[in-house]
Amino acid sequence: MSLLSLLLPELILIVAASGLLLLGLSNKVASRRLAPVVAMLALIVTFCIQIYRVKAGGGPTQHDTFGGISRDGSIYGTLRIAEFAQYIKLISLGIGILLTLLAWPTNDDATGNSALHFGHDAGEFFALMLLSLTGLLLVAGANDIMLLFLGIELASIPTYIMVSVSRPLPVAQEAGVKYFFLGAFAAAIMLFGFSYLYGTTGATNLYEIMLNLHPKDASGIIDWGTRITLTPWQSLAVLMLVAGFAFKMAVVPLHFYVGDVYQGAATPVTAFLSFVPKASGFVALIKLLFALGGPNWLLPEPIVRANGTGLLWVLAILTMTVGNVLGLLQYNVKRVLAFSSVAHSGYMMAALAALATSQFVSPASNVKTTGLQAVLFYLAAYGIMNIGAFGVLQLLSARDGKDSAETFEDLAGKGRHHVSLALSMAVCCFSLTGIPLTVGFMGKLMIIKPALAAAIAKTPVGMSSVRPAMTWLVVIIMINAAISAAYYLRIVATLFLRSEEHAHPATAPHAAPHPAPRPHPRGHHLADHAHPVDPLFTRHTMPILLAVILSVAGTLLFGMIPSATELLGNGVQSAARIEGDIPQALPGLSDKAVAASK
Amino acid sequence: MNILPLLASLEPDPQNTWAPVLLLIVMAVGFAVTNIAASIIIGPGRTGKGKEETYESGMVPIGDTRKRFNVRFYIVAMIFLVFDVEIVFFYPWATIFPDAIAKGTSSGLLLVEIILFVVILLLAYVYAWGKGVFQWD
Amino acid sequence: MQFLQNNLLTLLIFLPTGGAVLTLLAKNRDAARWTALATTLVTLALSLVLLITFKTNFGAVQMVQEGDWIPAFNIKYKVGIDGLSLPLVLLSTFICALAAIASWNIEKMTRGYFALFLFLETGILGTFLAIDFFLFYVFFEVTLLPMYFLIGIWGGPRKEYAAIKFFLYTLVGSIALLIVLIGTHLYTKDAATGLGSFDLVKLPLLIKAAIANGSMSMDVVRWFFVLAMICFLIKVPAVPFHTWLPDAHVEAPTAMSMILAALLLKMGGYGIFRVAYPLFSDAGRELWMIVAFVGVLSILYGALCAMAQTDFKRLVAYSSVSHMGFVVLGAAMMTKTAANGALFMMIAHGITSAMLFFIVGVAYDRAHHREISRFGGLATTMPVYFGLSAIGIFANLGLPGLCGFIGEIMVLLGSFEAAKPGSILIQSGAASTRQIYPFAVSACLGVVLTAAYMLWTIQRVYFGPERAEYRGFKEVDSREQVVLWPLAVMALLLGILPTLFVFSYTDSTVETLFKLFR
Repeated sequence: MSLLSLLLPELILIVAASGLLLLGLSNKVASRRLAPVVAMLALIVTFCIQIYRVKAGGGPTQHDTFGGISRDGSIYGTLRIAEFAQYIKLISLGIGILLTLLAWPTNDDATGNSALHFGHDAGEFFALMLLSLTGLLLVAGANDIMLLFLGIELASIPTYIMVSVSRPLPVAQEAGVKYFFLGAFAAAIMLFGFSYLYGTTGATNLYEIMLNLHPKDASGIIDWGTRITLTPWQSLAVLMLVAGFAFKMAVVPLHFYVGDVYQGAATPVTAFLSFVPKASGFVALIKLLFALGGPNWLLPEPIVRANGTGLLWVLAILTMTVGNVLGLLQYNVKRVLAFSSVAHSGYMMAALAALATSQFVSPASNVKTTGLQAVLFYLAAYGIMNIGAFGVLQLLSARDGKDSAETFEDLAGKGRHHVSLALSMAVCCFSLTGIPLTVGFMGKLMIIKPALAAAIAKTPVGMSSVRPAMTWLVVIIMINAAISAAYYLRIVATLFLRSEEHAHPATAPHAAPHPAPRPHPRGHHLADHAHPVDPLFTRHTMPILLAVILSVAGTLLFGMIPSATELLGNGVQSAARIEGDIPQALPGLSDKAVAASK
Repeated sequence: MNILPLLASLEPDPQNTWAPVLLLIVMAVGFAVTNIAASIIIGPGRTGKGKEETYESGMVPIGDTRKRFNVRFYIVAMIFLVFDVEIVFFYPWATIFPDAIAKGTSSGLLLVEIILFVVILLLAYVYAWGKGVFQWD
Repeated sequence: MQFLQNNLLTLLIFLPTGGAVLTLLAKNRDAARWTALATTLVTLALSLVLLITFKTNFGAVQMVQEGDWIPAFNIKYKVGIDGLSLPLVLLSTFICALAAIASWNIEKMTRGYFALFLFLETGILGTFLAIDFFLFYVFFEVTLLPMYFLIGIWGGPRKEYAAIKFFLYTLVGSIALLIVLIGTHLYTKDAATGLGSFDLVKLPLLIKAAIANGSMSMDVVRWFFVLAMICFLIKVPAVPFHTWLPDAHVEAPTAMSMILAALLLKMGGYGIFRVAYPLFSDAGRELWMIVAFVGVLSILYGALCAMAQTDFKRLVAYSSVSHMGFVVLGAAMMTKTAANGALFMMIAHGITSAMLFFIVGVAYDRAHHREISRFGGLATTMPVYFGLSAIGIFANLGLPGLCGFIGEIMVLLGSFEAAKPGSILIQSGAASTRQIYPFAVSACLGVVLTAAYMLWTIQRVYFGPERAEYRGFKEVDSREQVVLWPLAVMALLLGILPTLFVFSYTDSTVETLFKLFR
């Protein structure tokens, strides 16, 4: 495949973004109405292309050498777009469509919707959105630390602006500035890490880096069975890289911004933040993990040999626990969802931690593949179910009736009047908790599977057992699932079980704050009377409602219907056949070690 | 103290090319520290009413020290960045051009790439123009 | 007819779901009520068809219907029925029909109530009929959701607290079971697909094979057994994990208390016999003492707590804890008599607890309180009510001739049997006679305590001088009698003809089960 057709999705998005930027010059209402349509068309076209490509499968290696920069003349170029990248692109574009629906300017002068007020900047807003998604697509295909960094930054920088312009409130400005400074700081640290990685290995290509790191025997042939040992400088590089990615993923020591930024940003932008930068961080981390090994990160060799786990294990446990405990303490639903987002990063880290033990356990346990499958599935699952929750928040009005709901007080008793919306929220919350028949449950199942597989796997003689560490990981995932249930249930309980004391009489879904509040025909005994024309379905709520419906349908379908689950499952499975895609430093055990494990 | 043998030992050898950088850092920091230390030690420490004025000349300061600059200056700085980045990226492109052609990459592709790059920057320029950045008043 | 025969179980599970959808579409409250009642009655009728088609001496799971659900993980939709599940399925459809009548007076969001109620029935039936472990788990956990809303929306003053407590306790257990679910999948290899298995019929053998060839160590088996038991003991609930039950019962509406006590608790007991013991029988044999201790502790502590209650409904709730302790004890002893007794106990307790909770509900509807000390003399005020209550209470305390007696006596007999040489526990060397006797004897003490608090309750609530404030109470009306009479009749019939109603179905299955234990 030629370079241009390989990059077709990215190119389409960039062209659309450029067009939208120019469209932003116009101050006409019509052009503001046109902006989301253009963005949506671009996304749908690219999504269809991706569906076609994922279905067609393509060769295992569709690559590009980009002007012969690749030094050893190997086929591993700057971009490697195979199943893994295709899958990531597919889910990012799919989620991108839902995110665009959430941000659709539906009010009368098209300056925003119930939660979002970008004023006249519709074109710019959607251009930024597309650019950020383009960044994510580039990260998915990057096989070079330069492109990886550029991709991550392209995914991140537009989000800083989106946070600030999302609504004309001081809290949004604060969030934007906070996010920008911390994000720039994280990017600088990440770049520093990349520079050390380049300095110590002499290559920017991930594959070359991996080759250079591997121990070689006298005749220069790489010994694939031996683990990579990092020098102190390389460990420092890894530390800085993981810190940089951790910021994007909202993983624990770098999670502090999450609460304020997610709360300050308008709800659609919050939804965007909880998927796009996070996904870019995870994809980058997966690439780093496969290029540099995993357990050998930062911990001294004796400890690594003792339990086979390392930095990722520690981060996973910290992230899950801190995210969930902080989630319990919040009063604002958006903050709850923010810390839940931290916790979900922790679950995905747990799968990566299990993946990283693949060098210590018998290959029969298959942790490498199942671990990667788990992360890939969970990324999609989290994206789908989370959007529904944010969408419902947008559709429910706050108590003052001026804005969309954000606090628990806003939600109190809403379940009585907006049964369908509240049920959607309940589905999403139960899915986030991991109740069966939802996609969240399938995700949790897949996350626990590799960890448990590593916990019960045989380990070769001489390599100490990873069992205790992995058993603890499983136990802590369990405890966290229970903790998280408490605050998700609190949301559901507030909607259904609490009464709406002192609530504002106007409780119709509030989609258009600027025009005068529409009279709402909805009575108070909705459940017992045949209801009047459902005011949920108005021009003002339509796109958001569509996003909620799609998200809830996805949450249930992927959790229930076999063929749908299979569809996602097959995508995940082929994406996890990473041999032809990302270079790997996680070669598994050599035959000799396997024989010794018997 | 004879510093020359020391310097000679820092003679950059192919294995240790970082030594000059280290030397440069040491000298830079040393120069600054030395000067500050010297001014503290050597300088006369007289104080008095006149000395504590903002301007020793006796002039009384007017107004606040915080002064707002017109936001246009920042915008112009950003527009400058557009061109700046353009130049920064042109340069490496130009340097690899012969190499790439020698390795068999088609020159047309490289040309298209850089034209795309320029077009994207041009779009930013047009956008800024449309937003009225260049109207000073 | 052939179609019905082939799809009977699936139809049984999903018929209530269809009814729930219809209920949601109902025009008004009455339509919703009648739709729900009709659905539960049709389901009951369908379940009675099972009685005809069920082969009593078959032993293994029958009427199996199987299809792929998620082939990538070898997850199947597989339902079937055997002696363990058949009585419980009948109990479920029976109690649900009565609970539908019992919830006739729900005025708040009636349609939503009955829809959730019917979803709950689907979940319960699914749990009892699922033969695939994964499917079992899904149904087991999905029952949480309707119950959570039913307690949370239609419950008493502290409904939110009770609903969340109920949900969180059970969820913790479910997560423990999830580990077991994935773990067994990872340890076993299905010969047909090469993937791990979720088939509850095959799993016991596959796990035995895995233990035999050394791929699964006894440590792991022990852990899995403990995790599975934690899940089911929370649901049962057994004593250290029981605190959610009184709260949930006190806040739940009457009909939901009936279902909670009669059916949801049975899911825990059923899980012990369907999952924990068959799959990890070796660990069950080794750890019998812990399980038996939990059982006896539940019996005694539950009874003592019941004695100390001032709230009528809380008293009945604690009596449930005490009675379900017999089920746990019956499982721990690993004798056929005890197992049969435990299964019978579940059915008997299903009848009596539903009856008692309804009796409490009747009193509450009139008096608007449940303080035992403020009742008195109801026997004079409401003679019919007293008569029916007396049947329920005596059945609950284990009067011979009523259903409670059979269960208790069988479990106790089985416990003493376990102390004889030749029983599984003694033979395997896991226990000695001297170790088993104390458990059996203290369980007997539980019977005395039960009699004590139940008789004391009768005395305080029904006897004594008639109270002026209750003189105006209406006698139980026809709707309430429709609920109470079938329960009373069943309590009597089960007590007189236990073999006809339960043991003829369970015997051969228990036989099959015990082949696994050896």
